[in-house]
Amino acid sequence: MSLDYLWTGFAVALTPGNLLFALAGCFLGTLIGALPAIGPINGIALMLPIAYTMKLPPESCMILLAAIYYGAEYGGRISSILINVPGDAGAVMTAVDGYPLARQGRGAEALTMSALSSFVGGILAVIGLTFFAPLLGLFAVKFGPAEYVALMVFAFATLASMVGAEPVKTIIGCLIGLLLTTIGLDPTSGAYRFTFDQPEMHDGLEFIIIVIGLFSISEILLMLEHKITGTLKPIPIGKGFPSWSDIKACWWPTIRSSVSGFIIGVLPGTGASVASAVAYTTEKRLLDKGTFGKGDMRGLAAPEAANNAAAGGAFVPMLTLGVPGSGTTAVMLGALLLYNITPGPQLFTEKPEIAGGLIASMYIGNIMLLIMNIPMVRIFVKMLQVPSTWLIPTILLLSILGVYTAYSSVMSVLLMIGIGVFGWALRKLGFDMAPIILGFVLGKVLETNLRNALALSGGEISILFQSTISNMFWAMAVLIVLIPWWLSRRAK
Amino acid sequence: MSASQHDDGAEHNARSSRVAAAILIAFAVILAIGTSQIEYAFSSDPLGPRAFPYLLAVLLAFCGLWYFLNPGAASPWPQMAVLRSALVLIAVTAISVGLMDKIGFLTAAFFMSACAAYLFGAAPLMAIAIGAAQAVFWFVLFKYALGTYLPSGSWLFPG
Amino acid sequence: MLGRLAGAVVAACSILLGASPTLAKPDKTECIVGAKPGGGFDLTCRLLGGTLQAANLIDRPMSYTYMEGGVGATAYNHIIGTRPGDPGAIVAVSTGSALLLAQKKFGAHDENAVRWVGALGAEFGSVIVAPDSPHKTLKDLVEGIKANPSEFSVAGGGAVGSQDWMKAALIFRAAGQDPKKMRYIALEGGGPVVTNILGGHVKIGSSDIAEFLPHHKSGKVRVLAVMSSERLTGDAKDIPTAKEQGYDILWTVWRGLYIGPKVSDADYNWWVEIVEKLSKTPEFRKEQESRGLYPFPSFGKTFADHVKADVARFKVLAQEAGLIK
Repeated sequence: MSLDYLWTGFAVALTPGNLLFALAGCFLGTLIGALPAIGPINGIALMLPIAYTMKLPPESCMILLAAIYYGAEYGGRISSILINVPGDAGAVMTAVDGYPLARQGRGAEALTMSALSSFVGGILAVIGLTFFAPLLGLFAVKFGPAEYVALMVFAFATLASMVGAEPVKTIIGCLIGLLLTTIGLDPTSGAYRFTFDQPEMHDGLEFIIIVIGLFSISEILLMLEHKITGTLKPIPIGKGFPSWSDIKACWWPTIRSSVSGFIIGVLPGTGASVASAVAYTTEKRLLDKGTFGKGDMRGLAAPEAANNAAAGGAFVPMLTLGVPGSGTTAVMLGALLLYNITPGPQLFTEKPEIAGGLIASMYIGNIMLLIMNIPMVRIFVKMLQVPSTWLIPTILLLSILGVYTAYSSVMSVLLMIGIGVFGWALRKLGFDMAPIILGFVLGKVLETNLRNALALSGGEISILFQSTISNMFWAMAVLIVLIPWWLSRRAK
Repeated sequence: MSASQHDDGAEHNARSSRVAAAILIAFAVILAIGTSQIEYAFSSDPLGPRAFPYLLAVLLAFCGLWYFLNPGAASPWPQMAVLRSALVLIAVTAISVGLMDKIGFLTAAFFMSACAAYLFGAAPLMAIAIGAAQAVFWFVLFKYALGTYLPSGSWLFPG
Repeated sequence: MLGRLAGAVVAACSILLGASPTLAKPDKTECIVGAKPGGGFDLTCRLLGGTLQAANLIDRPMSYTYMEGGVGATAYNHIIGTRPGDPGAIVAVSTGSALLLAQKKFGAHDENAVRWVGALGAEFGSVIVAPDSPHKTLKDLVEGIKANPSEFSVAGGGAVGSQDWMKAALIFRAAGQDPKKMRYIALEGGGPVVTNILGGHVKIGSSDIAEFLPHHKSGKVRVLAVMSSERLTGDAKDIPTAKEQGYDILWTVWRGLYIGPKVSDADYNWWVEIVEKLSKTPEFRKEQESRGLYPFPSFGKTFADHVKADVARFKVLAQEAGLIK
C-alpha cells in the first residue's frame, strides 16, 4: 500500500487549526485520564456533541477525539502512581510498581519514566498502524472463540509469575476476580447470575466499580490507619529524571510490551486492560528477581507501554474493518457514521484526509504528549504534598462521582463502598489486589469464548486446537511456564 | 513495634487468617447453593451458566482449606481507635450516599468530605470549610461543566 | 418553578376553555440513556436532543444521563421508583426492552407502568452470510438448514433470548428446526458478528441492517434478507425482504421514548405533540437517516398500543421457543 494517504494526512494534521485541536485534545485527555472518575469513553462521549454542534469538519473531529483517547492513556498513570488510584482501566497495573516507587520518594522519576514508555508504546503502535494496518485487520478476523480461549490460557500462564511467597493468596485473589465476572447476564444462556433481582447488576459489575472500590476506598482506609498510628509520613518528591541505567533496564521490557500490547489492542475482544496485565505478568515472569511489586521501574514501564500501544492498536479494526476495537473506538466509529463516512480499507484511498489525518495526528499527538508531560511531572508530583485533609475528601468524592455518573444509581455506589471495605480487609490479611483485577479482566473473555467455542463445535474439545494461531498460543503458554523454571534450574 | 508485640501479633494474625479461611469456605458453600438456584431455560453451549461458578466454588473451597492449614502472614489487627474511625467514615459515607436522592448531592458530599477531613486531622471549623468547598467545587464541575445528572434532593426541592 | 406553575395555570385555563389537548412545556429537559455511551439508546437521546435544539423547540440544551443496566431496566426502575412525576425526564427505549419485558426480565414492573411517548424511527433485523457462501438467497439458506441444521452455526450480538437470537430462531423455525438446537454464539454487539463472518468462524450472522449495510456495500458480507414488511429505501433498496422471498419473518427494531407514570396529561401531551411535530421536519429526517434509522411514525396512544402488542407477541414467541413457560 502506498503511503500517499499519510502525506495527505500530515498536510491536514499540520494546519494550525488541527494542531490546536490535537493540543486541546491531548490536554483534556490527560486530565480526563488522571481523574479517577472519568475515563476516555466518557470524555469522548461528552466531547462528541460539542464537536458536532461546532460543525467541525470530520477530520478535525477525529483528531480531537483521538487526542483525547490517547491523552487519557497517558493521564491514567498519574493518579495510579501518585495515590494508588488508577485513573482508568488500562492504568491498573501501573499502580502495582508505580505506587511503591512514589512512596520511596521516586514519584517524579516514575512519572517521567512512564511518560517515556507511554511514548514508545504509543509511537510504535502508530508505526504499526501505518505500515501493517490492512494486514493486521486480516489477522484480527482470524480470532474466533477458540483463538481467544488459547490467548486467555496464555494470559493465565503468565499469571504464574504473580504467585509469590504465598501462592494460595494469589490463587484465592484470582478466583475472587473470576467470580466477580460471573455476576450479571450470562451471554450464552441469557440467564441472570447472582444479580439479586437488581437491574443495576444485569450487565454485570463494571470494572470501574471494582477498581475504585478495591483501590481507592481501601487506600483511604489504609491511609486513615496510618494517620492514626502516626505512620502517615510526607513523601519526598525526589529528582525528576530516571537514571540512565534505569532507562536502559526498561528498554527491552518497553519494546516487548509495546509489541504485545499493540497486538492485543488490535483484537476486538481484548483491550488496554488485558494488554497491560499480560505485559506486566510476562515481564515479571521473565525478569523478576523479587523486586517486582516493590517498586521496580521495569514493572512500571511494561504496562504503560502496553496500554498506550493497545490504544493505538484499537484503531486497526476500526479503520480497516469498520468494526470497533474497543468501547472508546465504538463511540468514535459512531462519530464517523454521523458524518456519513463509512470506515473500511477504502477510507485510505477515498478519504485520505481522514484516515491519514488521524494517523498523522497520532504521531504529532504522541510527541506533544511527551513534551507536555515531562514538564508537567513537576506540577503533578505536587499532588503528593497536598495535605491529606484536602486530598482524601477529593479522592472520596471523585470515587463516588465516578460510579454515580456511570449508573446514576445509589445502589452501585454503595456496592462500590462495600467492595472497598472488603478490599481493605483483604489487604490487611496480606492479599494483593492485582490478582483480583487480573482474574476479573481475563475471566469473562475466557468463559464466554470457551462456551462459545463449545457451542460452535457441539461440545467437541478439539475445536480449541484446530488453528495455527490457537496452537501457537498454547505453545507460548507452555513455554512461559517452563522457560523461567528451566533458567532458574540452570543457574543453580 | 517491639519484638514481643510482634510475637503476640503473629499468633493473633494466624487466628484472623483462619477466621478468613473459614469465612471463605462458608462462602464457597453459599456460592455453590446460589449457583444451583440460577434459572435458565436452555443454553446454546454444553456447559451452561452453572458450570463455571460451580468450578469456582470447588476451587475456592480447596484454597480455603489450604489457607486454613497454612495461615501465613497478615498485618496486625488495627487498633480500636482505627476501627472506630474507619467505622465512622464508612457509616457517614454510606448514609450520605444512601440518602443522596433525598438530601441532594451537595449536602451528601458536604457531610462525607467534612467527615473525612476531620478524621484526617483537620480542626472542626476547617473540616466544615473543606467539606463545603469540596462539595461545591465538584458539584459545579460535574453538574454545569460536564452536564451530568446529580440529584438536587427531593426533601430540599420537593416536586 | 415559576415556569412550571405558569404551565400549570395555562393548562388549567385551557381545560376551562375546553381547548384540547392540553399542553405544558417543562422548563428543563433530560434524556435518560439506559446504557453506556455509544449504543442505540445514546443514539436515540442524542437524535432527540440535537434536533429539538436545532428546531428551537426547547429553550435550553437537553442534558443526558447514563444509567447502565439490563437493556434499560435500570432506567425503567429509576423512573418508576424515583422520578415518576418528573415532566422533563424522558427515557430512550427500544424493541430490546420490550422483549425483556415479555420475558419478565425487566424488573418488577410491566409494560403498563410508564407513559409511552412515541417512536423516533426504526431499524430492521437482517441476516448475512460470507460473500463466497453457496447460499445466495434466503430460500437457499433455509433449504440448507433443513438438510443439515448442525452445519449452520450462527453469531448474534446478544444472549440466548435476545433480539439477534430471536431473528435467527425465526429462520430456523422457518426451516422446521428447533431453535434450541441452533449452534449459536453470543457476542457483544453487531461489530463482532461481522468479524466472525469475515474470519469464517460461523456461517450465519444475525443483527440489524444498519450494522451490515456498510459491509454489504464493500462486498465483505452478503445480506440475504431484511426483516421489514416492505423494501427499504436508499442504499438498502436492492436488498430483498424475507417476506418477498416467501417467509413471514418480520423484525422491527423501533427506537422510542417514554416518561414517568405520574407525569401530568398536560406534560405528556406536550411531549407527544412535540415528538410528532419534530419527526415531520425535513431536518429531522436527515438526521434520522444519517443514523441508519427509517421513519416509523407512531406516537401517543398508537405507540403505546404498538409497544403493548409487541410485548404480547414476544410472549408468544418466547413461549414457543421454550424461553419461558
